[in-house]
Amino acid sequence: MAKFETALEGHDFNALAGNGFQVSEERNYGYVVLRIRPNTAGAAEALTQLGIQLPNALGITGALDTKLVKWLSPDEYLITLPLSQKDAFIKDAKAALHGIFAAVVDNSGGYSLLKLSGEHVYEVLAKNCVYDCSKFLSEGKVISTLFSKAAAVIYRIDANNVYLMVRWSFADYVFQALAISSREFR
Amino acid sequence: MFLIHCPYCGELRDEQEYRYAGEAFIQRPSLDCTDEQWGDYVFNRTNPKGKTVEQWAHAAGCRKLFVVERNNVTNEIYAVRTFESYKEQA
Repeated sequence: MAKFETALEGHDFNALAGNGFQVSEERNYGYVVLRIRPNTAGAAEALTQLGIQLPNALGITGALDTKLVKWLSPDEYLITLPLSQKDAFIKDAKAALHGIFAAVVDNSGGYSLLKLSGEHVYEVLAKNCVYDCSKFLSEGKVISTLFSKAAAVIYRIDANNVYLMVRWSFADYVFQALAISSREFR
Repeated sequence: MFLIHCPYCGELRDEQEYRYAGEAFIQRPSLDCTDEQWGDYVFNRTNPKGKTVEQWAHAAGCRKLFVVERNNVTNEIYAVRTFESYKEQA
């Protein structure tokens, strides 16, 4: 089997670390996109069977170590779950949603997930985002916005960390942007 | 630069997250139309000065298309509505 590598393989995250800002890559998660309208006939039963509760706009339900369900748009939800559980979940989801107007798509190869932490995290974000994360990105909220020029999904599930998810093809660009904008905090 | 309220996300977001998607409510002519009618549909726009009714896409956000009634001189936004709300009204 080929060696498991991410788009940020070989990047030195320690070089970005300072007293008030740290970045790490979360490697062991799978990303599954669920397209469904919450009011679709039969959806409620199928989702209960899967143990999924659909969040409201800009909301998050669940937990990262089981299934973290994030709202992306009125009929699109992003599920982040441990990579080892991903294949089984997709199989279950396709069986449970059979015959219902919905789609389950494995996007695990498509994204890079970065965990940002430290007291200066919002200052670094403010240099790159048009969205005011320090003011409006509360705990348990997910936003899709721009990070520098790359489309990004930014969310908070606890008090100390901000998660930043980008397409893997933008991962290097985002890493360089983070390196430049966090330079003053090293 | 201005802020647009996204009816799906329910928040004011920066213009950079959006893409302009042309004039709204252009009627596609029937298949037996003349070349002039088809050319009018494809190429001609009303291009008003003042109040416009246009489509915007929340490209970096929820990626949904909706309708913005905007003054293209002052950038004042009169209303932001979903297509569904027009259907309900009709």
